[in-house]
Amino acid sequence: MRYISERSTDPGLLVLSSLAGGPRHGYAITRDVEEVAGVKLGPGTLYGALSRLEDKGLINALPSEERRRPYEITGAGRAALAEQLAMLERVVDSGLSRLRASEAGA
Amino acid sequence: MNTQLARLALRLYPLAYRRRYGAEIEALLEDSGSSPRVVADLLRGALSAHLRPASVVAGEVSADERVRLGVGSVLLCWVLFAATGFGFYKTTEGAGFAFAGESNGLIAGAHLAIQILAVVATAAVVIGAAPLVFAALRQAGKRPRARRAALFAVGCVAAFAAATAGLVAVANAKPAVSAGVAAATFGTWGALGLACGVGCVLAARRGLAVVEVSPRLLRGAMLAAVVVTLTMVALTAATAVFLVALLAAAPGLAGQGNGPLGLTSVAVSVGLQLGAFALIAAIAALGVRRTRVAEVA
Repeated sequence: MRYISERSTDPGLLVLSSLAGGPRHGYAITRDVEEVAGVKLGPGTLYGALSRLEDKGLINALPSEERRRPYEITGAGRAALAEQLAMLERVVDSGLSRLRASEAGA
Repeated sequence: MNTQLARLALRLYPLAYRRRYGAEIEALLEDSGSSPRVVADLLRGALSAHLRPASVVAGEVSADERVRLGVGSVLLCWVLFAATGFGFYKTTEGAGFAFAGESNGLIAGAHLAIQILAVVATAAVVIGAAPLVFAALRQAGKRPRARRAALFAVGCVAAFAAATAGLVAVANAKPAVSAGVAAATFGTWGALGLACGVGCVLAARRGLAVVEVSPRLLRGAMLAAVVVTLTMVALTAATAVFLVALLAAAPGLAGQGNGPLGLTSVAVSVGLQLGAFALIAAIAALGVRRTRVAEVA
């Protein structure tokens, strides 16, 4: 079952990956995602992803700290993230082995 | 500049989103700054929030507020729709259209349907709004915000009445004014009319937010808003039929010069008006869809 998306740079996937490391607020999420994936999430994209993830029960909002509200990943979020990353790992492994095979054969 | 634009873009989000995420997004803008890319991202996010609202924010706006916002949105859409409709009226008022209608039943039928639907929608606006206006005027003495909204609306109506008197004076001036002056006067009157209409709607939205009305009255206003929206959709369809029939049965008339300085053809003008009708009706339908009438107790 696909909880998030089939795109490796899907904002929901990137946000969940960031929150897997611990609760973060919006700015910390964007900084982490940019550092890890080189993707700059705009505020519209970020909060669109946060609202959809919250809707699906994959993240929870924590009490605000001076207008900055941290979010945490839930158990369902961890399971969805693990499934998505496992699928991506299979794609990466398969793609790399086929590339090597075709380069060896060439 | 970019920060101000970003804040303006944030105001385009639905109220429920602004209440839930507004402070966080403002804090994020303060932390990370703004740019044209950020403004564009916020505009995309606002559109997405309107088209695919998340249920997690639904609780931020009460059912009563949703109905009030829905009624106000439909009223604003109707003013814009009517202004576009006036353009359609000016485009199709020539004798050639009457002749085309006599020769082709579909052109005549579509044009008649448009006129009837316009009357129905206007009647629905008046019937739905009248009880709310009376309630606002009754409460104006006790509620300063309702009084200011009512005074602003009256001011808009007075300004438009004065502009109309001016237009009539210019039209009947002896000796007659030049065509350029007449066109400029008409254009100014039209622009002022649109501005006054929008001003009245904004005042109505402000008054609607603070006036106390019974759930029954509010439900009645919402049902009137649904009728207005459905009528706008039907008007759009009738205009599409009119345009297709005109192109098929009277291509010479459809290709005639139209608009300021004859820069477009009749068909292009009606096509643009049709596009505007469709967009406005879609926005009104979106506003109605988000409103759950059944939740008004």
